[in-house]
Amino acid sequence: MSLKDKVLAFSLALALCGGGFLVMDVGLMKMQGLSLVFHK
Amino acid sequence: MDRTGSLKIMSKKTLFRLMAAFFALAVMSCAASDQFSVQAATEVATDSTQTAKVYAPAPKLTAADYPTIAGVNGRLAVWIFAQLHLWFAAFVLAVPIFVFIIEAVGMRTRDKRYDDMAYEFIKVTITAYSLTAILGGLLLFSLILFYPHLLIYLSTIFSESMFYYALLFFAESAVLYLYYYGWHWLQGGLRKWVHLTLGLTLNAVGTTLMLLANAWLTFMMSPNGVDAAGVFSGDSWAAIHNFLWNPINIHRFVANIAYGGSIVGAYAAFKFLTARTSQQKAHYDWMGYNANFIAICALLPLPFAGYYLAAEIYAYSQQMGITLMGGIFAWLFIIQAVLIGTLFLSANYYLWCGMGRSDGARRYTKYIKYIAIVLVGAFLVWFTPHTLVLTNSELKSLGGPHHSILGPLGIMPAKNTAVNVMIIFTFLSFLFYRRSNKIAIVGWEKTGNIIQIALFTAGIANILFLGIYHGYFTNTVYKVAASIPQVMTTFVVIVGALVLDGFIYRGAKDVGPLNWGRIPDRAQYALFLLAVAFTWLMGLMGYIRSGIRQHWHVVDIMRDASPDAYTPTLGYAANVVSVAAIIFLAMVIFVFWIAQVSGSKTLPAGYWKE
Repeated sequence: MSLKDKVLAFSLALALCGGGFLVMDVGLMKMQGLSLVFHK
Repeated sequence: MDRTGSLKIMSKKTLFRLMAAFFALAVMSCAASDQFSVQAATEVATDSTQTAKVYAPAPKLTAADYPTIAGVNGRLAVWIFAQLHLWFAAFVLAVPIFVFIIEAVGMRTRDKRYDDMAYEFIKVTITAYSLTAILGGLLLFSLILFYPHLLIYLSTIFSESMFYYALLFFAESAVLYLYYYGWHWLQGGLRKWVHLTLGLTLNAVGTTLMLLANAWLTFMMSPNGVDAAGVFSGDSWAAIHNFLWNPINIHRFVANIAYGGSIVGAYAAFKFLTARTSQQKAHYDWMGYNANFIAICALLPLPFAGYYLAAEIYAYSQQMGITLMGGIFAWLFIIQAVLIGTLFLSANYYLWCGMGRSDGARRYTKYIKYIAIVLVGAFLVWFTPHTLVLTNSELKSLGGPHHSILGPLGIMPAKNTAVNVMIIFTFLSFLFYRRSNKIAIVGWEKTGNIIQIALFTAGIANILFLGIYHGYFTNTVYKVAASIPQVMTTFVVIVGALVLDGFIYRGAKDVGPLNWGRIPDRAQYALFLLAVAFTWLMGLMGYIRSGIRQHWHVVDIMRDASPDAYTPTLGYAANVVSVAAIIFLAMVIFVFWIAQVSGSKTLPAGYWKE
């Protein structure tokens, strides 16, 4: 596996996992009646 | 009869006597409570056929209602006996849970080593069980002697559950004897299934006992089934099912397993260090590893069970919650953080030392130092206090009791972040340990590893984002709410990485046979440290749980009017808990020694007639 392939695979997996966690964060905060981003 | 047999029978007889005494005491207390109930309550006719019992309100006591006996401080006596009883009870309730699991694993794998290990664990429990009963008796005696009115009031409300508790205690003894003494008799085929069922029954009875006792103590914190004056409605289930009952049940159930694992881990370490042959060393090394594995498995979810309990305490009474973590007891939470950090560090250290059992571990040892740095960093954040104890000149130079940048490290978002990171990295240590003796054979191993690294990276980044953003830039509501996605992130990382690892190492080859016993002695001291830190931690946190009632026997219902109705200084409390912990550990060493003696034989030449 070349370095380019490794970086590509890592970036793709990171984007997928990061996106998944972000969706989960938004969902769990919404369930508590809040948004992920703080509004005064 | 050899010494083993006589010891077993002696302990059995002693135990039966103790059980009988305990049962008699319990029945006596129920009878006494009933007698007082009759005195305190009146039977009023509601119609010609039915009568309803009217209960008296909670008594309003004066200092004269607390007997002084032989100059003994009643609170101190009850405190120490209750604490010792609880430590042993936690141990004897937890060990049968994983003995049952280990026995089931042995049945499934048909590996006799599991069966032998399960038997050795339960053997240690037998003596501990006697001590639990003795200490339970002493606790009951001291309550009768020093706090008679409180006991009468509680036993009026819980008369039914106390009676069933006594019966269940008897049942537990019977099942435990059958389980232990029938171990070698109930082997093979259907008999083994009967034995396993006995183990299940033992656990069901033991857990029910714990749930009942938990109801009594949580009633004192969050009374239910009574009116504002403490008049019992007659609904026993309402009194049992009070607000804090289930949070305590969950927290204690998980904590007991971790605690039981740590104590039998210490037993295995003790046996390892005193072993004379390499076979014995290998056996006790394996036993210590399994015990530590159980302790870690229960330790990982434990902080979340603790947070749930604390959140429920806040939900029940903000005043109680603020006393718990924002008032006088806050500094004990700093000690708690130090001890929990010690638990994580010693559990990890044991895993790292244990990697030496495999020749393939060299591939992973280079990463250990990074895990150690992260763990120590998280540990430092975890025990950073919010408000510093400072002199006037220090306060002036700092501009207040909080540091502008480090101050937020003292509040919960930072602590939550630290504990989640510690849990993920402890899991990483375990993952390396698990991999150290394996060689993957699947073609996509490298891709799998890259996905795993991405999962860990994204998870940790998410935990840091939630902790830092909500910790520094939002209000309290957001700070508390953000802890839930943090926990879920940790959960997803652990489960995801385990599943992925399972696929990567499906059908994997072993590097070589694991060299059980090839572990330095200092790793065994990490197991001792685990047991000592757990014991001390339970004692200190138990003091806090009880102390947040402040000057109430039963919060807002029954006031403590004794001369000891004040919160002792933290130094005094720490000393009491430390002395109790030393007594407990001395008793545990006695239990280990007895377990060792029961297996030894003396053949005196020329003593007996041929």
